[in-house]
This record gives sequence, C-alpha cells and structure tokens, in this order.
Amino acid sequence: MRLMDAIIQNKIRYLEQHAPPVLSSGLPLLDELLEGGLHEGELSEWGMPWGQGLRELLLPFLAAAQRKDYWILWIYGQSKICVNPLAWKARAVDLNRIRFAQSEHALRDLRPVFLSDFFRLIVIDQSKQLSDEDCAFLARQARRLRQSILILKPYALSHTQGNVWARLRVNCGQDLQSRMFRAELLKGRHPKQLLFSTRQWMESNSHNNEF
Amino acid sequence: MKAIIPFPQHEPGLLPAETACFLAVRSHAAKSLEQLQALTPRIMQWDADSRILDLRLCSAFWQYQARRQNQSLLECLQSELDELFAGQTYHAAFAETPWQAVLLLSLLEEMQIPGFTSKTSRFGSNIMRSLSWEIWWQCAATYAEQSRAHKKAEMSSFLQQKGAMELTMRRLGLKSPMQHQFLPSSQIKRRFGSLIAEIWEQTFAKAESSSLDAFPWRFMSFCENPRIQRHLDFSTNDWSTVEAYLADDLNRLCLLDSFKKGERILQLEWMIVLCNLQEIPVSILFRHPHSLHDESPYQRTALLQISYSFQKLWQKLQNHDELRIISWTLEVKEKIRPRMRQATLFHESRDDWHALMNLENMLLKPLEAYQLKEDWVPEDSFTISSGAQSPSRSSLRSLLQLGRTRPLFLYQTPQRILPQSSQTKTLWNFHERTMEKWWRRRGLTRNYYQFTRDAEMLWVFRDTYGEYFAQGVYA
Repeated sequence: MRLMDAIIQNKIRYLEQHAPPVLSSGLPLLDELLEGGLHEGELSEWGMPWGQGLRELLLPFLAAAQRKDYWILWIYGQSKICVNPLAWKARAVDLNRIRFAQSEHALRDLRPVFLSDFFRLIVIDQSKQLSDEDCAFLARQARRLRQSILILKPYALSHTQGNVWARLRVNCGQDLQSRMFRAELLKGRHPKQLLFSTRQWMESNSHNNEF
Repeated sequence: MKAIIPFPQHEPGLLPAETACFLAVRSHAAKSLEQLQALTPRIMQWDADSRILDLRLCSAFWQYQARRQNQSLLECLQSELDELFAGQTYHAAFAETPWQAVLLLSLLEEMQIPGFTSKTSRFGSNIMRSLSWEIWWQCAATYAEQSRAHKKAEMSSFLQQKGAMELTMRRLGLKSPMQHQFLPSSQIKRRFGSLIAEIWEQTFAKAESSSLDAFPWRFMSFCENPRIQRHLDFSTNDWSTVEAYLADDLNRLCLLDSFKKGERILQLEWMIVLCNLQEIPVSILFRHPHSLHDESPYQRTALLQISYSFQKLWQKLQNHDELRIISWTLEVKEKIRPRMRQATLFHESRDDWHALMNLENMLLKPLEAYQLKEDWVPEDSFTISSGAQSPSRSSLRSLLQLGRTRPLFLYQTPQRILPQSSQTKTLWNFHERTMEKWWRRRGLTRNYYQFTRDAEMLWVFRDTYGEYFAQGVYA
C-alpha cells in the first residue's frame, strides 16, 4: 500500500509540474468558474449569442495575457462593423498589443498566424463553420505552440453534440430583462453553472477598469 | 418635413500627418540625394537638386518604424533624413500631395528654413499661407517642363496662358494664390487652359483627391529590374507544380547581379503566359519591405502571397481547365536599396515589431491596429495606429470613463431604427450626450442610450430631429 501511495504521489507531482500554465483573469467570478482560468495550449469553444454583452466576459483574460507580454489577435467574422477601441481600452485591454482582423474564413485568410507562436491568445469570433479538420488543426497548433484559441459561436452550444477537439466548452448568456449573466460549463472542468448580476460583474471587474 | 442627413460611411480615419505621403527634398549633397532610395523606391527628379518621394508604397512600414522607435511618423522621417544628410544642409517638405510638397519646399528655401517641415504642422501650414505668385509661377514652370516631357503641354502655349493669368490676377488685386482657393478650376481652365487649371487644382487638392493621378510622375530608374523568365515543357494550372518552379525562380532572382543581398522588395510582377498566348500580369505587393535573400531557399512569404494572387486569378478566369500556363516572367518592380549605415532602417533586430511585420507580409488580410484620439465623438475617437501623439493624461481619464459604457463594436454606418415598432418590451438606459462637429452635420446633438429589445442590446442615439440611429452593438 505504501508503494501504491508513493506511486500515486509521484504521479500527482508529475502532473502538477507538467500542468499547462493557467491564464487567470484575476476575477474570482471567472476563475472560480474555470477552476483557475484558461489553460495555455487549449482550444476552447464558447457559446456567446451576439448582442448580449457577453464578450466582455473574455476581456479580463485578454488583459491578463497582455500583462504577461502576450500578443492577442481577435478575428471577427461580422461585416459592416468596426472595432470601438475606446471601449476596449476602457476595459483594460492594451491597444498596443492587440490586433484585429475582419474575416469570415479565419483559417483560409490568416492561416500563417496559427502556424506561428507570435499571437499567444487568438479569438475567432463568428467565423464561418469550421470543419472537423479545421478544429483538429487548431487544437494541434494550440497544443504545439502553447496558444489559447477561443472559438466564439453566436448561439448556445449543444450539451450532447459539439466540437470534440475543444478541451473546454462554455455556454454564456444574459437575461436582458433581469440583467443576470449565466455561464455554464459543458466540458473541460467540473460541470457547473454560475449566475451573477451585472452589478456583481461590475464590482468584480472594477480593478480592471482603466480609470 | 425633416430631412434625413445621410451619414458618411465610416472608415477609421488617419490623423492629418498620416495622410501625408509625399516628401520633397532639396540639397546640394548629391550623394545624400542618391541615398534617398532607402526611404522609398519611387523617387522623381524634380530638378537638379530636388527630388520628390512617393512614400505611399511603404507608408505602413514607416508607421511601424515610428511605433517601434516610440516616435511619431514625422519624427521618424526627420531622424532618417538627418542621418542621411549627416550634418549637410537640406530642405525637406512633407505634404499630402506631391505638388504641395514642391510648393512648400520652395517656400522653405526662399525663407532659408533648413531641415524637415510638414505641411500638416501648424508651422508648415502657416508657411504655406505666405505662398506668393512668384514662387507659384516658378514651380508651375517646372511643372510645365515635366508635363512637356510627358508630352502633355507645349511650353509656348503655357507661357502665353501664364502671361494672361498673371495680368488678370494683377488687375483683380489678388495678392496670393492661397487666398483664393475657392476659385473653381473649371473657370481657370476655361480662361487659361487645362494645364494651368490642373496645377491650380493640385494646389488645393486633399490627400484622397483624384487629381493626384494627374501629377506628371516620372520615377527614376536606378538600375535594371531583376527579372527571371521560365518556359515550361508542358502546360499546367496546378498550383503545387507551379509553386516548385516559382521557388526555384525566386532563388535564382537572388543570385542576379542586379539584386543585391540586403535589398528589400515591395512589389513583384508575375507575368503569366497562357496556352492561348494571352499574357496576364499579376502584381504581388508586400505590406512591408521583404527580403528574398533571408528566406532562401524556401521563400515561404513570397510563395504565400503569389498563391493568394494565383487563386484570385483562377477564380476570375472562372477555373477554365483549358487555360493553362506555359511560361512566365518574374520581375522585381519595386525594391528599397539599403543604406551603407544600418542604424535604423535595416537594423536586423529580432524584436516583436520585426516578427509582426514578417507575419503581416504572409497574410491575405491585413491586421488592424488602433490608437485613441482626443475626441468625444465616437467615430472620431480612434484612428489607425501610427505612433502619433496619444491623448493627454487628463483627457484620457475622461475618455476612458466614457468608454466604459460604450459598446465594443460600432456599425460602420449608423443604422436608422424605429424603436416604437417593437412589440416586445424595451429598455432605455441613458448614457451620454454629445455634440457633432458643426462643420460636418450642422451641430446636431446626440443623446446616447443603451437600448435593449428582444435579445439584443444596441447603442442608440437620438438626434436633434428626434430620429433614432443604432451606432453600436454590445456584443
């Protein structure tokens, strides 16, 4: 039994030493949901319907990544819109270390960024349907280059079917009438659901505000 | 009936300094003038001691250099010129159009103001206001000479028209061209001919004006363009086959005497010949100066850019299988020649900026970078990042407080909405009031609200006329 205990302890120590670095947002709400934060080298999928203010939930991760001197790339698939940099800056995103790109076909138009370790955090927001092969490629590259790649979908993710290559899957939503955020973990950590109000979010995020 | 004033399509605007892309330089240091090729491959000899530089092709590169050195674009260019001329006297004028750069240059020389001056600066614009007819006509005469070389004008008719216009201006008591910029060029053309009208129009043209195309450019050719030709033993339209041969040709280009190691290319031309002997030129542009020598033998960046053009071309030819390539010529059209001293331009530091420029050269789509401006109007609160001055600390605090309630994304053109038509419950949350610029849309006020309806949150404003427009979305 003592031998077994020793083997188990060694294994745990090995896993702890070789665990992927975690990108913590610094906000207890989010870090509690993700059990520490985003893992580097991980492909994650987020169900974030458009127009519900949900992308704000990711900005603390961007700010945290930039504090580690990482470069961020946000690829948005919507046409006829443009980025509002003042709003991003006000939410503690450093405009000097982030780039944006408008593309509906991220892998076709921007493939070299996924083959380089320059951008350590890449968000693919509403790209056209990614095939299994594309997702496999993204997962492989994320692991190899220690990138965090986030795929944002404009709808709630299914509980039963989904991206097998994503190690983390999260559904987010907001009840616009009651102003309550909802985040539900589908895969990658212990299943849990989190409900918090806009006020709780603002209070939690207050230290990240630039002013 | 209330008029609905249309919104212009919003493009993230450049600051005034960054719309300027033309540099006119005068100096007696002939050797230093030759080295201006380090700034751009597009140089025109205006007269024996003057050159005009077209920086449009590498403006993105210079903006990056400025950001890398934590300088504004103007400071970066000034330091480059100071190093090039190394203590020798020079006059340099930077402006939005080549003709305005020439005029400013002449003024600087007359006033004996050496060094670098930008027309977009307060100092430069004040100097421009003092433009006299004498200097204008002196420069116009050179313009006419250059146009004559273009076979556009006969000098005798120009001199005749010049005399007539001088007399008219004297009789009317018009003391300076700059005071009368509202004289329409169509009237000038009717009375004094098309060449003088063209020069007149160029004097007051803005950066985006189409009259820039009329400028009598004649770029200097410093050496023969490196060129490689290939004839295939078979015809093909398969990219993988073409790619292998192209890689070989790019490496062969690097071995030519006319292409020195250290030179950077900005534009390649790939002239394809199809089996029906149709010749199709394909232009391959690089966002930043690119070194073919450094990427030898794989030539990944160049091949990526050529492949994008190839796919686009084949789509345009509608994928006709019978259209196959039998030969091509690969030519370096624009390249930058390095300076002997590698203090800044080709300093081979492997920092983030260098890696980012190399990465951008490989991409089909450009990457967007932004910086803030000191402006409360949402669509004017930012610009494309260029190293220009950021808002002051005190303004920044107010701006950021404002930004906290603004959405992450804006519509390129605000969309008119009819909030009363919604069947479901809506929520209105007042955020801010701002005023539009009176010279743009007659000083309308905008009351901004966070407007929630159905399953989306929009950023909506109500203008002075009671119309509602959605300008952003809380994504």
